[in-house]
Amino acid sequence: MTAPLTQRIGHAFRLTLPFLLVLVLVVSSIAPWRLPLPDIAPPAFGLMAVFYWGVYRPEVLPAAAVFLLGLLQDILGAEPLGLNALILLIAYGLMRSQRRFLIGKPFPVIWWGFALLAALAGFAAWLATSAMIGQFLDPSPALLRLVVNTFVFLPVAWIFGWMRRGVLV
Amino acid sequence: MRVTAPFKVWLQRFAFVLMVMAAFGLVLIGRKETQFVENLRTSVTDALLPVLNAISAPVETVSDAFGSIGNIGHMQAEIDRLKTENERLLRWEAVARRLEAENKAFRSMLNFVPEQPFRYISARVIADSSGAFVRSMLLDAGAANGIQKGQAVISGEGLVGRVAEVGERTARIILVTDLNSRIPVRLESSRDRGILAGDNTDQPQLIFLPPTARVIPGDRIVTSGDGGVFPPGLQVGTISVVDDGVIRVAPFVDWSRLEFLRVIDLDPSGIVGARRPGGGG
Repeated sequence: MTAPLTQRIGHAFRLTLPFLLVLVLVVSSIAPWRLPLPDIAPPAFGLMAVFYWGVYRPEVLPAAAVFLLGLLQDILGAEPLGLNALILLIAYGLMRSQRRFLIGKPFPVIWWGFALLAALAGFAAWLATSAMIGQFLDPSPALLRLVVNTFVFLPVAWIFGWMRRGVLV
Repeated sequence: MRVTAPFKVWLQRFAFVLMVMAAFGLVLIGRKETQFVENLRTSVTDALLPVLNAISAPVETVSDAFGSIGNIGHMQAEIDRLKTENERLLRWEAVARRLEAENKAFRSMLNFVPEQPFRYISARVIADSSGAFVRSMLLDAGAANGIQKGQAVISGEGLVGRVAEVGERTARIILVTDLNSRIPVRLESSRDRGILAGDNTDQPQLIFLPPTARVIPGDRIVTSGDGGVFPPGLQVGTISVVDDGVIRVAPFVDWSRLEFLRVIDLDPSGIVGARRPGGGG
C-alpha cells in the first residue's frame, strides 16, 4: 500500500530535519557569542550528529551529508580543506559498524562511546594538523575542547532523541 | 520499482567510499592549490554573509542583555572608576596636546617628511571562527569596502590581528595569537625590535630580540612598522612573562568583547583615489 503524495512529501521533509538542525547548530556555533571564557573552539556539533545519527538512524544522515557538514566546518573554521570532512566520514563509518553494539544500551554507555569518539577525532585532528604544519602543536586546546564536547553532548543528545522519537517516528 | 536491499547496501557503501576519497582528494588539492582554497573559502563566506548577519545580530542582543544584567550591581563602582579615569585622561590630554604642538614645531625645524595619513575601515565581527588550531574571525566588510590582504586590524584597546583573506563583502582576520601570526614589533621604551609570534595560546611570544635587549615584565609593546604594511606605534600589549629565554606578551585586547573593529588602510590613494568625485584630478 502506498501513502498519499502529501504524506510522503511530509515524511521526506521530516527526514531532512536532523541534517538541517545540525547545519543551524554548526553555523550558529561560530557566531560571536562573547562569552567570558578563554578563546576556545566551538563545540563539535557535526561530530555529535555523526555519532548519534550514525548509531540510531544512519539514513537521515547519508555519507554525502556528512561530507558537506565536514566541508562547511573546514571552510568556516579556516582549517585545512577536507580535514574535518575526512575525520567526520571516518567517524561515521566507525559508528555505523558499531551500531549493533551500541543500540539499546543505557545512556551512560552511549555517552562514554561519544567521549571516546571525540577523543579519537581530536587526536586525529591534532596529529594531522601537526603533520601539515611540520611541528607538534600544543595539545591543550584539543583537550579543553574534548571536555567541552563531552558535556555539551548531553543537551544535544537530548534534542536529537526528542527529534528521533517525536518527529521522525 | 523497488530497489533490492543488498543493492541498497552496496550503493550506500559505494557512496561512503566515494565521499572518503573525495575528502582525501580535497586534503591533497588544498595543500597544493592554496589560491583555490582561498577563493572557495571567501566565496562561501560571502554567500553565507546574510545568514551570519542574521545569526550574529540576535546573539549580540542576547549577549549584551546578559552583560547589562550582570553590570547593574557594579554600576556605582563603575561610575566612580570612570570618573577617576576621566580626570586622569583629561590631564593626559593636556600633556598630549602640549607634546603634539612641540613635536610639530620640532618637525618643521627639521624639515621632517610627514607621515602618510591613513584611513580606517570599520567593520563588525560576524563570526568568531576559531577552530581547535586556528585563531581567526570574520568581518562584514571586504574588497568592496577597500579591505586588502595584510592590513592591520585594531580595536579600541589595541592590535587584534591582520587581514588574511578578502572576499567581496567579508574578510577573514588572523588574530595575533594564531600560530601563523608574525608581526614586527618593538619595545616602546628601549626601541629594541623583535617579532611577535603567535602560538595558539592567549599570550604570543616575543622572538628575535637583540641579545642585548633588557626585558622586564610590564614593558609595553608597539608595532614597529617594519615592512610598511602596519603603521608604526600601534599598541599591542605588555610583557607578561620572561622565563628562561621565553618572553610572552599579554595583548591589550579583550578577546571576549570584540564587536566592531577597525581595519587600517595605509594607502587610501589606491582605492579612494580611483573614485574621487569630480575633482578633475
